[in-house]
Amino acid sequence: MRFAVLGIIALIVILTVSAIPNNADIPIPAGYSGFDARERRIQTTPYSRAFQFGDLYRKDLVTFGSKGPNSRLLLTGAKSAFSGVFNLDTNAFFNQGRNPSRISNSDPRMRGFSRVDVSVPLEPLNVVLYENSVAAPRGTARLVQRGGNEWGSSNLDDFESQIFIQATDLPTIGNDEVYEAWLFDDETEYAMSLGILEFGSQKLTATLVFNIQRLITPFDAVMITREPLIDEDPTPGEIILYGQIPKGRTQLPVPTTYASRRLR
Amino acid sequence: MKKFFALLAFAILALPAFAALSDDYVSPFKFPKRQGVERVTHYDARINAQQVDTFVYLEAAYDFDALYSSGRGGYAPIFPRGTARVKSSVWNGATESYVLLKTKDLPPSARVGGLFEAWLVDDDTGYRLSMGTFITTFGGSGELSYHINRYLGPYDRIEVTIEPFNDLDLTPGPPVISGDIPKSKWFTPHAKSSKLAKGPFESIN
Repeated sequence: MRFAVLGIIALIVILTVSAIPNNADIPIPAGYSGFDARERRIQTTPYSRAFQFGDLYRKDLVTFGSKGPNSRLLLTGAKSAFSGVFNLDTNAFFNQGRNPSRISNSDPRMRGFSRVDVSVPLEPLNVVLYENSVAAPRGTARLVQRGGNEWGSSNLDDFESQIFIQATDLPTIGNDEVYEAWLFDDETEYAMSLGILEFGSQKLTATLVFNIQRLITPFDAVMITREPLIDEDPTPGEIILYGQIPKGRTQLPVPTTYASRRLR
Repeated sequence: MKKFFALLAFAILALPAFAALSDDYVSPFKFPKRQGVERVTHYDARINAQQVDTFVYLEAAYDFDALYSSGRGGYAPIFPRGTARVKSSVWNGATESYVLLKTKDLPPSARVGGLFEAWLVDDDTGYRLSMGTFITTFGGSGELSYHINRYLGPYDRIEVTIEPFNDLDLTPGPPVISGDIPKSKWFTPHAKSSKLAKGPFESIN
């Protein structure tokens, strides 16, 4: 008797559970534009975030109006508002920390573009010199590069790279000497000057902000050297601080394609 | 006796003739006449600080004869050219430089599949400073503006080279146009460091 009751209860539970519609019953949207198209592309494109990691990892459709992406998205090289497969791991200039929408194993060769957005610690090249001083010189360089997208974006060739450098406890120098910052490439041993660091009051810290319209992907290191103010020799002098640029996972070591390109 | 002294005086006065005849004597005809501020021996460079404020006219750097063609005046109607405005100054320990480059009749980027990179070249040391990259549109017109906090005095030439897109190799490609930066013919000595003002807060400290 008890088994029959349990059996009937089990049957009711099983029939109830099986009546819940499963995913196969929800049709894939068939529209060619708008919400339907976005949904379809997200569900069917194999390299989209939702397809790979599930619906919980979808990016919210925020700030996309009927007029397109806002300036933040355009300036950071994001794909257009009408792309349903924007799937870079992060689109911010700051570390994402424990943000669960950050994909930690994104491969930029899959989709997207090569980008530089790193912070480089600058360390003294010769630590022995500063053993007896209270604090050794040190600094930080922040490198940001936007533009130069690979896949169909409008700012294909409108690069802009920004370098922000701060250094402190630099050894005091005379009036006719300055500290100059450089980006250095190991392969060609080329050092590109970024200009002179400006001292704050009482010469405690030195900063530099530099914009240039080119890619800084090829460069491997940032260095700060000591130069005369009026320098007949534009090559770098004595290196005071040096920092290796860490290659992030959003940065391609080689171009995505060697094929010739077209501009619209 | 008077004749003797007269002859002696004449002989002493004639001695400089030997100096005049020797090759080591530098007469005003041989000594280069210095012009401009170089003539002034106590010149203080803080009056006219070092600066570069010129136009650079860039012409084809490859084998291109612009002056033997069918256009007006014998010029080729389409020839690669460019102009760069270079402004650079150093004053009181502060340096600032701008370069504004505009080009015309370069190969269009969409057709050749490449972009152009501008360089400041110092022929004495062979160092090149990259000013950035730009694309040219139909008609070969492109522009680039560059700002750096450094004095660009040592550079002699501006050169534009052609590079592939997404070029990760920093060696320059073949040059397309280049032009010399005209140097001032007046000599401007460097200011002595002792004469340079020491900074805005020196008097407070």
